[in-house]
Amino acid sequence: MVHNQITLFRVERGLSRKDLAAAVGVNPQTIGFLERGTYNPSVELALKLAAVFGVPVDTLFSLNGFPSLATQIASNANRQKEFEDD
Amino acid sequence: MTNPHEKPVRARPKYILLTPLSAKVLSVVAIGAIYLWFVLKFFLSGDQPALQLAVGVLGLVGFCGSIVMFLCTYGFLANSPVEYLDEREIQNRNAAYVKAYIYATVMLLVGSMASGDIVGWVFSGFEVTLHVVTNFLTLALFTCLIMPATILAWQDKGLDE
Repeated sequence: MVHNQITLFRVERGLSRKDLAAAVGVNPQTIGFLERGTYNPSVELALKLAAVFGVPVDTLFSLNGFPSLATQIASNANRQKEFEDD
Repeated sequence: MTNPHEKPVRARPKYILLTPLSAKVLSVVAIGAIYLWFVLKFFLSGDQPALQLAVGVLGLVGFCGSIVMFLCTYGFLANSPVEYLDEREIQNRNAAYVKAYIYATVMLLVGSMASGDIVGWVFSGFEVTLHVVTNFLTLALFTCLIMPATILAWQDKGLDE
């Protein structure tokens, strides 16, 4: 199964499904299926989505899943704290 | 927001908008009515005008339902050129056509068996007349016509937007 963070990036950028769909040339319903993980995109579509958000494909898609947002924030905060301590 | 890879799906022509649920109901009504029409015709005799009318109406419901199904959202997805569809819709359509092909093959198999001795052996007195063949071909035509759209409607998980 391919995991993705499309919803996170889309909401973060303030885009609707319709906007994102128009940007990558698919129908809005397809974005819904992608976000729910019930459809795996082609390489072409994955690259287009990554290009829209300006991130590498493996930031958007993963085979092993992503840590929760809370875990990511906590991890970043710890890194920041360590950096400041040094 | 601009994207150099952008290649939007072409604007779609007009078609009858149906929700997944209404398309499912319509497909069951249309296919059920056509099959009932075909089966009940075997039991009709000349002195039952009311029953003849009822069977005729049933056939009409089936045929009209099939036409609406053919012209609805899922009929469009099943029959439109690829430039109107995105990759997921093309994938779904391919899967639907494989199932529709299996249905058509099974139907032709059953039809060819009925024209042989097997059905005559099971149901003594059954005779394949030109009328039966015509009705069977009508049944096959209408059900095969809407089968891809029907399968697409039943495959649709009904996600919003």
